[in-house]
This record gives sequence, C-alpha cells and structure tokens, in this order.
Amino acid sequence: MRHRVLLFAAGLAVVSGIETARALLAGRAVATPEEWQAATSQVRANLQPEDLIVFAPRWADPIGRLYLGDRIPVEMAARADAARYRRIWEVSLRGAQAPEAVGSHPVSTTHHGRIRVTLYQKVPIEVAYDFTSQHGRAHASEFPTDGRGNEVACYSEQSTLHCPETRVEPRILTVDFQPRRGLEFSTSPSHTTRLEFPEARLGKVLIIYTGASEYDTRKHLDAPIHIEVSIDGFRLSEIRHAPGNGWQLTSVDTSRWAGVRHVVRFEVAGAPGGWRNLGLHAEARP
Amino acid sequence: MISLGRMALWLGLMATASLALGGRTEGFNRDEAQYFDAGELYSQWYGELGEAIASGRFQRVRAQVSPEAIDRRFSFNHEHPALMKTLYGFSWRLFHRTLGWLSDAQAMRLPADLAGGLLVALVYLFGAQACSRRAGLVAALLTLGAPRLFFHAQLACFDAPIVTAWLGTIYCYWRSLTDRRWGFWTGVAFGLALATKHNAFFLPILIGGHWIIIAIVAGRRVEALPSARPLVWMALLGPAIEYAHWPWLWYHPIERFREYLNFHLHHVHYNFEYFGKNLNQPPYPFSEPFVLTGLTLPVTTLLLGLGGFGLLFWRWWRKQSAGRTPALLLAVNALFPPSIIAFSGAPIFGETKHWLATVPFLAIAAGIGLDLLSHRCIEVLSLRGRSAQAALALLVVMAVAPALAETWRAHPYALTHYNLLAGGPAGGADLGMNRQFWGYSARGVFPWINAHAPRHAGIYWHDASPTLNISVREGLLRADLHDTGLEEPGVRQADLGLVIHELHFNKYEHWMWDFYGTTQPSYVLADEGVPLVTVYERRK
Repeated sequence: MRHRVLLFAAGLAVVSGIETARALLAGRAVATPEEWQAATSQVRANLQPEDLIVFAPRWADPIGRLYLGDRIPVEMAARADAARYRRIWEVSLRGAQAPEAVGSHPVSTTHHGRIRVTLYQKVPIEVAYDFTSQHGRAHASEFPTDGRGNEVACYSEQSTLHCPETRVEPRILTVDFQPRRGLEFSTSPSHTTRLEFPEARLGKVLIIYTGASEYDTRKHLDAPIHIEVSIDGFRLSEIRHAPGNGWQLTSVDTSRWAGVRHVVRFEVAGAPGGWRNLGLHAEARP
Repeated sequence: MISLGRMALWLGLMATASLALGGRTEGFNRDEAQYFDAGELYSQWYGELGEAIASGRFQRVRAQVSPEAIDRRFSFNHEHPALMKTLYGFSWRLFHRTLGWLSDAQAMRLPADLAGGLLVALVYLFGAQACSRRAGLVAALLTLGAPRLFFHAQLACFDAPIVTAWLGTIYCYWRSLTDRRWGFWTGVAFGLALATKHNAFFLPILIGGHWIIIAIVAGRRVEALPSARPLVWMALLGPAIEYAHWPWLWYHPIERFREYLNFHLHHVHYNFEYFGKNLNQPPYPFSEPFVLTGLTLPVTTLLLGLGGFGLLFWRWWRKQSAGRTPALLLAVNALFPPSIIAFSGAPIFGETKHWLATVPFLAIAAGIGLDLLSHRCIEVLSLRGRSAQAALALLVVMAVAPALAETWRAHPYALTHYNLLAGGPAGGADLGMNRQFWGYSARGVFPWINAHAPRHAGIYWHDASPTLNISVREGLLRADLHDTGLEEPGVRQADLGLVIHELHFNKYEHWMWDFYGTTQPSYVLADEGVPLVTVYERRK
C-alpha cells in the first residue's frame, strides 16, 4: 500500500512537471522567423525552373508561402500532382514528410534550427498537352441530356465559356479541401456540356482528374456526375464521378493516337436533382 | 480561520478579475456580436419601460408592454432565452453609457465574468462541503484552469454561464437532500438555468434519475427517503422563471416556445474537423466529445479527476464511507453532457463548449482525489507539523500548476489549444483537429491591417465580418475600412482578404489565389507556429 501511494504521488509529480514545463516553454519549440528566413533563402538561391516547393506538415503552408510565395505560382500551388517536376524542395517542421516526396530520392538535407530542408530528385514526366492551359482553344456547346432538343453553341467571355444552362471556366477548384487547378463545369440536371479541343496533341496516356469542387453541394446531393471522353468521335472512356471520390484519377491508353493532333471531346452530364460543380483537369502524357 | 463563504467569495472575485483581465485581449466572435446587439435592444426596452412607469401615464406603460413594442426589441435573436443578454445590456447601460467606467465590450462581458467567478466559488463550496477545503480549493483552481472553459467564460455568450447555472442547480439539489430548505433554491437555480440556455432541459432527467435511485436504495426506510421538494419547486419555478424573464414569450407562450425548441431540434449542422475529416452531417462519431475532452483538458486534471472518481467508487464498492461525497451525482454530471452529443443524434456542433458542464464535476472529483492522496501520503511518510503542511502545499501546487500554466499558454487562442497528449496546438494541427471557429482570432490581424491597409480599402473579412462594429467601437480597427460582403463576390471585390483557417474554409484561400493573382500572403497570424488567419493583398 505504501509503495502504491508513493507511486501515485511520484506519477503526479512527473506528469505535472512535464506538463507545466511544456506549457511554459512552448514558445521554444516554434520555428523563428530567422530560421524560416535561412531555410527559404537556401531554397531561393538554388531553385531551378522545374522545381516544386512543398511544405510539411501541410498546415505550415501559409507560413512557407509567406517567405517563398513569389516562387510558387498558382499552377504549382494548385497542381494536379507532382509528376511533371524534376526536383522537389521540401521545407519541413517537426520531422514531417510531404506526400509528394514519398518515393523520391533525397539528394541533400540541411537543418536550419527547427526547420529541415530536403532536396529530392525524381524522374519528371513530360506533359504533351495540358487541357486546362489550352482551354482558350476549346469550343463548348450544350444539349439536353434526354436528346429532346438541339445542341446550342456557348459563347466565350474573358476566359469563361457561357452556355444557356451551364458554364465552363478555368479555376482553382477546392476538391477534398485541397487546391486543384482545372476546368470547372457548372453542371445541370437536364443538360450535357460538351467541351471540344480541336487540335490536341496526344501522347500514349491521357490522364484525367475529376473532383466535385464544392463541399456544400456534396453535402446536399449524392448522385454521380457522368463524364464521357472521346477522340475523333471514338468513345474512349466513361467516368462516373460520385461524391466522396475526391480527386479521382482516370488513366486512359491513347497509344494509337500518340504523336498526332486529334479532336478530344469531354461531355459532362449533371446529376438529376440539382446543380453541382465538377472540376476536371486532363493532360496528355508520353 | 477564514470562513468557507468568505474563501468562496475571494476565489470568485479572483476568478472574475482574471476573466475580466483576459477578456481585454480576447477577440470578439460571430455569436457574441449578435448578443451585444441583443443586449442593447433588450436593455433599451427595459429603459423605456422604466421611463414609462416613471411618467405615471398608464397608456405609455401599456404601449410599452404591447406585443408590438416587445417584438420590436425581443424578436431579435429569439433563438436563445433573454437572461444573459439582458444582463449584458444592463451592465453596458450602467458601466459604459451611464458611468463610463468600462468600454462597450468590457461592460457587456462583465456579467459573464461574474458568472465565471460564481462558478469558481460554487465549485469551491461544493468541494469543501463534500470533502475538504483542500479539495474545494484544488477543484476551484482546476475549473478556472481549464483552457477552453476559461476562454468561453470571458465572452458575452451563454456557454460558460450555463455551466454556472447547471452546477448551481446540482449544488442546491445536493444540499436539499440533507436540508429541505434548499428545495426552493433548487427550483430558482433551475429556472435561471432555463433562462440561460437550453442545455438546462436535461437537468430534470439527471436530477429525477438520481432522486429515483436514492429512493430505491432507501427502500422502505421512510426516514431515508429523499425530499421531493426540489422536484416540485423545479416543476413550479422552472417554467415560471423561463416565462417571466422573457417578454418574447408573454403573448404567445406555447407557439413561441415550440418555435424556440424547434430551432434547436433542427439546428443547422456546423462544419467541424475531427482527425482530418470535415464532419458536417450526422451521425457523430460517438468518440468525438470524449476524445476532444481528453485532448483539451490539462492531462493532470484529467488524471486526477479519473483517479478521484476511481477512488470514490472503490470506496463505495468496499463499503467504506465516502463521507458526504455524492460520488454518483458527480459522476453522472461529468459524463452526461458529452453523452448527449455522443449518443443522441444531435446536430453537428463539435466543440467542447457544448459539454463544458463536465469540467466542474471532473474538477471536484480531482480535488477529492488529491485530498485522499495527500492524506495517504502524509500517513505513509509519517509526516507531522510543518513538513506535513509543506507536503500538502506541494501536492496542491503539483495539481494546479499545469492547469494554470496551460490556460496561460492557451490565451487568447484557446480554441487552437490542445493538451500535452495531443502535443499542443501544433500537435492538434498534425492530428487534423478543429483549428478554431467563430472568427474570433481575426482580432490578432487588426494591428497589421490598421498599419498597412490603404485608406478606405475594401476588405473581405471572412468569418469576422459580424464583429466589425464592436471592433471599431473598441478602437481596435480603423473606421474607414469597409466590408466587401460575403462569399465569392466579397472576395472578388476586395483589396485585401482574410482567410480564417478551418478545413472547410480552404476554398476562400483558393479564391484569393485566383482573383488576387498570387499565392503569397502578406501576413500570417499564428499560434505557436500554427496559422490562424492569413491576409492576402490584391496584386496591383
């Protein structure tokens, strides 16, 4: 009994001591502006055009961009994935690792107080055609999904394609709370939007990312959106994007069309019951 | 020796002063801004009524209590009872407008600070009378040293005042079990609890259930049967006080009370991040309120509280006397508030404010646990005189120091604070736990905005927009800045935009990248390195 009582008291003393000390010294565990300055200066000085900058853990991102945001264009911050980058600069706190760096080869690691800077090397994938970047060359039209009615051409204003019921515009989409650069289709329950790229140079693979771009709509609506992809009129793939699928990757073999320009068409049919926005980003890769 | 009542008074005053002092640097939140407005409106009605009565003209009095005159003031924010808002308004009229002693917000928040002080005093009395003065003191300081309860107790809201009213009702009921005169005060306290917040609807279930268990245990021993007076007074005074204090109910009590109930039964689901998932649809993971309590209360408080309950029930099991300690009453009250959220299919609320009533009961158990441990230590070590006193004092310091240090550390951003188990605010962020809500942290970027925003700049204020009025009145924010409004049009039109970091708010940041042409913030407000608010400027 004596030992048990003293053990409880000792346990209380240890927990109390650790908790009080951690509370009073909490500020010492935080990276200082000088450390951020030193870490990001190293990245800035060695940055090359095909490099990606990431921060880990993800919640540190705004502070990282405070120091390096001028070197992180919107296209990089809202990337679909990290495939096209040759090197990755990972600025990390608390020993965290960015998911983009997993599987890449670390070339160098430097410590700046509480911040670690690691440079990773990887094999980049060349993008033959970026459909989001090339959206200005696309034509849009809209037709009733049930086939009872005519196809109507959409008009372009600034960078947005306006259709009677729907709209397509390049945006930063928020999919699963992450930024994703792509084309936003405001879908309609009754109409299908057709987006056609007349001269898309294809590679061996067509990568298509889809995502519902607004959490509110997912909350209220659970019917899937249908996306049909065709090349030169040949129906290549049908994608069903259901709520909860996140940033969904579909990869299609396009070897037989590789190296030449083709007509690529995306048809997006909204879910019955209401409107919802769909985000889409596609790339032709070798 | 200082009397129990006087000690309670001193502790209450000390707690009130701490809260009032803390409140000077605490941000204003979305809901609080509504209650400030309601407080002004409600107190205005009472002022006009006073003037009408003083004029001696019956017609004026009658006009003032007409349905139209009442609705003009009380239809605003009628989803909550009027007691606390009316007190906030009275305090504002007296201490700000009439005497000029306090600023708008300080005066509005004063009744909440006093309610917090009363809570600490009551906890002390409960602990001291149930066990010992040492238990009461430790319990009182652990209640004050609960970071999130301290945060809520500074605000002119209802989440901490309802804890006071809840504890007050339970305390009176407990006293009524041995002294029938407390039955009346149980009814009064219950009425005030109903007038504070709807959480009080659950009190009759708790008290009635406890009363039935005691009655069953008493069996046929008539002298051991508990008095039914507290239940009778609760049934009589509860609805009477609720009705009398709230003019909005006067002319249509049934239909308006139903409207009030329906608002809360069909409450909108909030967004709440829990282990990286954005909860915004029921059902709740039943673990949520328990896990969140486990990750936000100081670990020492949790261990002592659980240890205290363990000791109390062990003694009960061994049929040893636990003195007057109401082990069952304390345990049920500690467990019931989070259980309502966990098991009732309640709308998604998420934050600890909805089950803060757990804290004082856990703290009392912790105080009792420490007291029992202290006695055993002295006994085992055979300490006497000064060495015994020193050992006792050391144990008290060990019990309360972490709680007070954690509360100090958490201020003013306690909603971002997580405990030692989680690894502090950064650990909470790593775990993907809710960062904050209510937009209160925006106050931290006001100095930067005051210094850097161009004259007459249009600003997207995000979740902080309802607090602009009070912030300008308090002199915290320049008056020339304007609000560009809500959602996408508000972001598009602004020269500067704020993003208050919560998982479901990420889209606003992405809009700013799109519309302002940059991903580089101009300013980031952080708590221990964890971003709370980010400010973007449109690139020229």
